[in-house]
Amino acid sequence: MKIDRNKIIDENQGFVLDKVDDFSIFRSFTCGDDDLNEFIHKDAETHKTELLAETYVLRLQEIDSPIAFCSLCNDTIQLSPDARKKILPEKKQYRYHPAVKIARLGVHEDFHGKEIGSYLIELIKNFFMIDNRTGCRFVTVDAYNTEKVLNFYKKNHFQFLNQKDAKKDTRAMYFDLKRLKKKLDSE
Amino acid sequence: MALPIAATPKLGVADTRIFLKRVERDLNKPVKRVSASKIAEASKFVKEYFENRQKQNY
Repeated sequence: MKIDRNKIIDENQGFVLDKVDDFSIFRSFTCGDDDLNEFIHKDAETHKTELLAETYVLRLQEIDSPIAFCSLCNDTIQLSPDARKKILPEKKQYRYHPAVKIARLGVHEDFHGKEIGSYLIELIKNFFMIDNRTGCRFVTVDAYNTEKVLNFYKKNHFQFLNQKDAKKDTRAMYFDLKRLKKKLDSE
Repeated sequence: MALPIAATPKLGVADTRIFLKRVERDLNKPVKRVSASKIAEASKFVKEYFENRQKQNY
């Protein structure tokens, strides 16, 4: 797998995760969710222009048509200073932990159930762990609060940040990239 | 307009304690990855899908 600043190429499997400049490639893309469709058709380009989020497309190396997309932005996990003093008095502990947020992730509806979403999550994790330009400890997401979506993120080792949003439309979840780094270091 | 992107909410005292304990506890838990055969299967399916679509367009 080759990783550079804007792209991941998985030569073995023939997939590419590429930064999007031309959003017209998504003209006929649909992932079966109104919010995700509206975001990729109308809002993603503005988020790029305003430097709020970058969108990446998953496609085959030889075909430009999108298979899936994700929009990513910077995030932090902020801890309470009071609690950190009580828990880890002898260790250096930061209040702010750098993270990357999956602002949106959608798989073309004709490719659901093929593990493509999980594969895309893996690529994102690799993107922010291997030769990353800055530190990034966590991947975060505000997952739609439905059984299907929550199970998808749980399957990919995301955990709930807390229980306060249990009845809200979305639930804050996180994955600790250090877990993956440990695994890769041991391989 | 689709839902706005929200910053991850700051954790309170109790949630910070739980979070830090969990991070430390989970550090050595295994991380399963999607198997290469599953990805290969998906790659084949997608390739055939686009090839069929191209044929239909001709």
